[in-house]
Amino acid sequence: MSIISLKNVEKIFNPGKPNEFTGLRDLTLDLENGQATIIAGPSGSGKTTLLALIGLMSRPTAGRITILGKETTLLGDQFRTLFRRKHIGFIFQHFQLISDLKVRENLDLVLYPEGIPFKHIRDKRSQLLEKFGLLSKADSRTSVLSGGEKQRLAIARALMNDPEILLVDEPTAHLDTALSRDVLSLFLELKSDGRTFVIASHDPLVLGSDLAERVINLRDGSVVEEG
Amino acid sequence: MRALLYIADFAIRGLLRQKTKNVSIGCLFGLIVFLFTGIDFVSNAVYQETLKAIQFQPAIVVQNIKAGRQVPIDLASVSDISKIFGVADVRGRVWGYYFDPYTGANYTIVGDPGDLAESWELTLKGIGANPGEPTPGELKQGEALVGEGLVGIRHLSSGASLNFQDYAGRPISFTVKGVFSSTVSLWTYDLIVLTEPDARKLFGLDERLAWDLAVEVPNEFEVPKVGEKIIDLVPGARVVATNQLKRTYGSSYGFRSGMLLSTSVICLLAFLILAYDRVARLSQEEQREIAILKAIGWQTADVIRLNMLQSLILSLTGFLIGAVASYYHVFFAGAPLLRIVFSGWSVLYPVHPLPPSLDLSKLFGLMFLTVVPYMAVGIIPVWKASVKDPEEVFRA
Repeated sequence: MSIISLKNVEKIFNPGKPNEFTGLRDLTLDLENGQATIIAGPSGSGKTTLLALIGLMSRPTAGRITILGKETTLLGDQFRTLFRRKHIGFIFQHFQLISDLKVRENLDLVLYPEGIPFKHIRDKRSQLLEKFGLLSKADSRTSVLSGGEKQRLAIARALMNDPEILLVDEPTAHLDTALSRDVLSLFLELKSDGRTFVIASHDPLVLGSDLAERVINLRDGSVVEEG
Repeated sequence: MRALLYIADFAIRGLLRQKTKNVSIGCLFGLIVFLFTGIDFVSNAVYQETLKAIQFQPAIVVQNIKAGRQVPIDLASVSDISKIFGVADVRGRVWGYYFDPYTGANYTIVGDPGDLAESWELTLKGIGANPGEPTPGELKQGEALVGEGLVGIRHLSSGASLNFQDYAGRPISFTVKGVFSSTVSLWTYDLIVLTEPDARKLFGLDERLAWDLAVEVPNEFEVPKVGEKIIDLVPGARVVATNQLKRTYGSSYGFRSGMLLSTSVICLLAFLILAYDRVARLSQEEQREIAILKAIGWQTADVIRLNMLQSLILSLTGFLIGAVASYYHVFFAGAPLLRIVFSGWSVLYPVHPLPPSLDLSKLFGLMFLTVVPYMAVGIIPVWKASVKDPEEVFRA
């Protein structure tokens, strides 16, 4: 069953300006529920743009995007944000953590707008910190974490709201091979919970991993190959 | 509600994360408020003090003017004035100022007509442990009553001598019989009560003369008419009505505080420009933080709430610190930085504490004029940053 559907999606940056640039062209895709899809392609091929569109962090210039059966293209900012909070977890290439907050505070922030009792926030946070081996770092400033720890924290943050869909941008870009393997095995474990993964990467380690159930190759904003 | 509490908690921690910057802004805010509230506190306290003193004054004071200067008035006109319809009582007042070279202070010396303590509501008490409380009627020649404040300034004790020089430079001495307290703070610091004959002797005032005449008119609506009749009876006299004095003092202090406030407005504007400059242009890092919050599911309204709470906490803290410091400066430290602006030559010394006086409506008005604009200037840039797609900010 299709969980994410893109129909004739186009994304143009800076339209009408001298620096106009087409990120995605006439893209049509259907991603299956519970499947892990790797979006591959060289730098500038449109991988991050595609993730941002699926993650409702950017709007398409044309076309329609349907997620979990909901047409999201015309949703207002408030509903897009709410939808993102309820259903999508995003792991950024550059982590996008608030570096002068403590590790635990970066996680707690996700559930603050929900207004749920703090005990639930604390329990959820502790459970994830333990799962990702960061419990001892809970009170450390995020800025002092290593690259691998930051990556694990970014994954933990994306899971705080228990999303059905996990969007991951270049998960191994800042990690050595050993850490990259650790992260990929973490994703495999998470996938076994039935989550849908969309991973943008051009790392052969990712492309050759068990995660790569489906690989979509992008070049210049268009799908050139699918396997 | 719980979400708002979480956001408030995060707002406080956010302020603490940038301590140096926020403490500087809070201090600057406090300084502006300190200046503005200080002006208002002093102006209000001095004016209220003046009004309190005026309420013990007669409805009309008649002065004798020659060559534009006040000179003693002949008591012969008392019987004529007392016959005017509406006048309840007329009496000559013997009083004057005395410069004390020992303390460098100007004292007000009043000759007691016999009921001064009662009519000015002076609370009399003996000095030290002396249980004998003097009454004004018992004040004998050569004796004096002094205010509590003066006791401190002159280091007086029971039976101490006040050594003055009379109008001709001859030494004249008075024994302190007792002290008084008063609801009018200034009186306790600068008022000395002598018997009327002693006051005459000190100032060289003949028995046929007084410094001015106090005219009691029970019905305040008759004051202008009585005043006109007095001028007809005593050519060259200046008639001063107490309600006219109230208006004069009101505009005088209003003018002084207005002058100072208008110059301080420049400071306020400078601060608001600075505040605008600070919050109107969000740094790249601030924009990134907002984009992160949006990316993890914070609504635009949540982000604006966070910013408003931070601005509110910062500006309200600055305001309260400024207002409390100003209150302490004015009412406990004697307003050394502002007093000179409001004091005239005759009250430059003795320094006396201003009685605490608080006009809450003005305080809230100032709070509205400082805290609200500070909160408001931050909303638009934060709103602009938070409605941007997070991806656009991260890409930048």
